Amino acid sequence: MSSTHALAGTGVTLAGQRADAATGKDADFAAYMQARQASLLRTAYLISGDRHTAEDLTQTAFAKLYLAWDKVRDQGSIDGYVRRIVVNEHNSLWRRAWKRRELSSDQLPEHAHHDTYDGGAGRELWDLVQTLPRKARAVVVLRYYEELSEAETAEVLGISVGTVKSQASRALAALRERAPATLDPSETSGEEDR
Amino acid sequence: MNDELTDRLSRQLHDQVDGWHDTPLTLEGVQGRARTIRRRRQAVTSGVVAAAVLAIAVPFGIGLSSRTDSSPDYTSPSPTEAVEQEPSAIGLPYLQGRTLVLPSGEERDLPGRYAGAVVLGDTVLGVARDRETGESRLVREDGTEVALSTPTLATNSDASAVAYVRADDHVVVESFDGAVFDLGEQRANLTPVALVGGPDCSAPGSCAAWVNRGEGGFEVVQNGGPRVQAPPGVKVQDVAADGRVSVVTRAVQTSGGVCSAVFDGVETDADSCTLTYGRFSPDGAHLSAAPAYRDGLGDTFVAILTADGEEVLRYQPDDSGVVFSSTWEDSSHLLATTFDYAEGWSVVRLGVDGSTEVVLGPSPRGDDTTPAYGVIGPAD
Repeated sequence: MSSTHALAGTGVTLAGQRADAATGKDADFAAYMQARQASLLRTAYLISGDRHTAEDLTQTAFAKLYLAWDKVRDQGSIDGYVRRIVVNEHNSLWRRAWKRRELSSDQLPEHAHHDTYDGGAGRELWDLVQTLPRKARAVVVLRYYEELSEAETAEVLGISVGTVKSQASRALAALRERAPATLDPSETSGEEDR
Repeated sequence: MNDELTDRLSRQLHDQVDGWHDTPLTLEGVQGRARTIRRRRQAVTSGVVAAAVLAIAVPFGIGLSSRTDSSPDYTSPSPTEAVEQEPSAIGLPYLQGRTLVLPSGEERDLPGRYAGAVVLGDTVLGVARDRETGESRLVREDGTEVALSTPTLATNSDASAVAYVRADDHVVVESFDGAVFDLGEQRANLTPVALVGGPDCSAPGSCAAWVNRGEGGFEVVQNGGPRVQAPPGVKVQDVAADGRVSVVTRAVQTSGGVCSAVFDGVETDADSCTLTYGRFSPDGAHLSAAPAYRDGLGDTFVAILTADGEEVLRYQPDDSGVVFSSTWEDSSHLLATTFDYAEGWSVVRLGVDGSTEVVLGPSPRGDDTTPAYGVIGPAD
């Protein structure tokens, strides 16, 4: 019983120290989150194709970053860490099941921009991107949206550079094969299709 | 052509989202999710997520199994039941609600819904867990109970004895004949993974329990004798009968994944940072494996590897499926417990020859964290 009291007494001091440390950590983390949230949300949306899933993935990535904040920050790899968590989480079934329930009523993002400059061909391209396998889609987003190098993409995804090359090559080949003629500028009529 | 397409692709991806600048997530929301993740990790680490998750770390039911390895049979099944009952679909005992189904087909009603169990001889040892307090108890068939520190049991290779950690942090070995051997008080928060030796632990050096520490790392708890040299690593996964050890060597902070290795003494037989190594088959010729990144409801696949790490089979449920756990049925077959939101729970038999067969289910019973079938065996 006495040991319980001693521990409780010690805990008051430790709790105070932990609170100070936590406050500093929270401030640093909040600043990072504020700076990067919109960007990560955009990437998560491009990878998942669903607004709610993107928010869920982003929140999970930030939550895991929060838990590992000290170590990840010290390694200077924060952006890579959260991107990788987004991709990994999207590939895990935990998210798949959740997404499956949501998709039926939320196929389209609330804020998606509907392009008009190319008669809707861009939108068709986006639709095709969403038909790519998950890992290929992640490669496409990291390479052609985030504009990461093949090596950086490999690092984020935890795969070899060769696999990045082959995934990207297959994805582009699939897009070319499935792409409508309107994706070719020479054949674009410029007419609105809606 | 590629440049044209990639230019348009890049432009379209930007066009799709570049108008987004809203930041709907709050620090409080993220912290709440972090707390949930932390609780889940702690529960998975200690094996207390849900009833059948605990079957992950529950040892083989001795004798009542139809395993094809050379395990001795300590069991004396009822002759009447053995003749009249149709055998179970699998060669290991499994929990289904409050019923224990034995390989013979015999079904035993349990006094409660066990979080895990082991069959020692003809006696069932169950693990009961109080969901409110988190406290666990080992419950013997005679009604006697032992308060546990962690709700996890680990058997030796022939499943003639089981190791557990009492609430007072003593590591204890209990044999099929009821003998109890106290390996002494240890540090707090240990989880037993494998027991080498036994069932008689009375002679010095005759038993060694491999245990994971709650704070990371692992150690070997012995009853005297020459010290067993443990390989480096953060978590022990299994110990083969010939002494090889399956280990998680390190966590990869940047990926959330892990690296694994099989050690034969100081030599590394196999290693990987794309797979999490699991349990050895009873004959030690194969090894189960899961993805290196394991957060989530379950794994996207389970694999069977040769002893030197070559993959011979990968079982991946369809897009809505997950592998919840896996357990070696015998030296040639791994039983994977899977969940699918459309189908429910199933147990799939995976052969080292590449064969797959659904042997139990699908059953819609239970939610996505409470399997309908709790196969009893050291799984991963």
